Amino acid sequence: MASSREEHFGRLVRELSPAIGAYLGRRLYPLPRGDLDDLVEETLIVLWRRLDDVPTDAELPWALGVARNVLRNAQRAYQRRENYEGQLRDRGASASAEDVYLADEGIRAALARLSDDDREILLLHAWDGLSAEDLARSLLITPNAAAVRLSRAQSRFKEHLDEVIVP
Amino acid sequence: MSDAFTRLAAADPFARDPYVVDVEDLISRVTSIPAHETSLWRRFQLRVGTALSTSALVTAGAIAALQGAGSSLPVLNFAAPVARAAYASAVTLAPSTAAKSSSVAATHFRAGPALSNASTQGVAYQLSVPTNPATETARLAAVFRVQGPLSASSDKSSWHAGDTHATLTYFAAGLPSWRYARATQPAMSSGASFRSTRALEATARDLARRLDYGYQLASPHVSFVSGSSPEVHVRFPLEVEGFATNLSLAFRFDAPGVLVGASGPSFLVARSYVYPLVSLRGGVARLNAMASPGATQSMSAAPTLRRATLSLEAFQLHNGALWLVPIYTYDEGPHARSASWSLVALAGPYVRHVTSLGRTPLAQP
Repeated sequence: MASSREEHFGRLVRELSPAIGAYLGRRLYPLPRGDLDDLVEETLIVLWRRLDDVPTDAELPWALGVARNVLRNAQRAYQRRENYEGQLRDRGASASAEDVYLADEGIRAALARLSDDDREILLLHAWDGLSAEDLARSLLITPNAAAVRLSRAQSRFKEHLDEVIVP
Repeated sequence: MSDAFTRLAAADPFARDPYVVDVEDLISRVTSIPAHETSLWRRFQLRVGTALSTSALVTAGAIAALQGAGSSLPVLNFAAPVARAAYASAVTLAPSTAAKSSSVAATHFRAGPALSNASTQGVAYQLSVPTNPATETARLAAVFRVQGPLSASSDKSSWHAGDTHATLTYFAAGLPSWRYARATQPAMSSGASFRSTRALEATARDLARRLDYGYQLASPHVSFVSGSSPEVHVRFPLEVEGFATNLSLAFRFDAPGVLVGASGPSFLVARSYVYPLVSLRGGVARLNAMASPGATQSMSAAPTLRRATLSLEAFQLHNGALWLVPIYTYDEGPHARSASWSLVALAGPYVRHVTSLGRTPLAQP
């Protein structure tokens, strides 16, 4: 019979794994499905080990914060390997899904003009569904700071989108 | 919500096709992992690393070391050749490979003196394909600047994006492939000249780079097609870590140099394995062993196989996995009949249900 700890973890996995997988999948592409599954699993291992630390009122933001750290480690490992082998692909250190597979050329161009921080908070809100309070928990900043940063990122995105001329 | 943020929300690549995983299996795996275990991370680095590596020697050495000098090589079950018919039809400029699925003719072969008995090694590659056909279609459509809605066939085996100006079709079955087609333009006026082939090749290379699959392009074959709508065809044979494959990227340009068609396969290299190969002379013996038992043929009529090449061909194994596998292709020498015979080059213990790839014309379209 599963312990209460395992039941708690099982509920988290059922509820959060789609969001975690989508979060990671949007930001690493093209990544084979097996690798994406591994990153999701790596994130969940951290959740399992730190189950007692997961805030009951902010499970998703907390989990996405862990996923973001897993993602950064993956990108650093990727960069180290590229540097070591002299393998250069035309991709920045912060390459993300929106850079490569959005059909809306204007959206792609506008996102590309944002800073990494602006893009991250904008997409956490627009794609991952985090509110300003959730953003604060995920990014470890105050709710006011999260609201201001989100508002500024949205303004800059809209300005860039208005400037973009798609041939 | 403003139009800008509506468009942004609609551009979410996972909105239409959520990430789905077997959660019960996942829970079971995670809760059984000891606290100190970090193998997952190493596995991920290995996969990413091998997918990006360009040096055959580096990869081969690294993989051999990690595998404990080849002690855990997968056995490949070749119950059926890869379903390349769809790929061949999609890639109009690629050589037809339909004949390669036929069985070897009832014949006997002799090994020429140049064929060695020495054992050797070759690299086989396990492939991964895009996990989400819808997002891959959208990504490819963006590369080719194809506008229009996305749709799928009823069985989800093909995906389509486009409008009356251009279309992008993604074929998800077997070895996935894609095809771009632009609406036919008015024929060029007489006396107009083509753009330089160097400029067309550069355009094609730039598009290939943006496809971002990681395979390399060999020197292109360029041909001119005359007629009412003359075209220039540029076909790049694909290489993986410097090894030739039977796959290619094809581009068609009209006279003013506008891209009117393109096609190619969709895959990433997931992992590589260094396998022992049968010797060249041993390969001839294997061909003979696969001849039909009841076949009769005089030894004087037996072709003498004088030379062989090693390349990679795509196969879909019995379990559905896609691999690029080392293949020997033999012929009778430069002045003999235009025929060749191919077979899987992996040493015996690592293959199941191997059949010859048959007799195929050497001439390439």
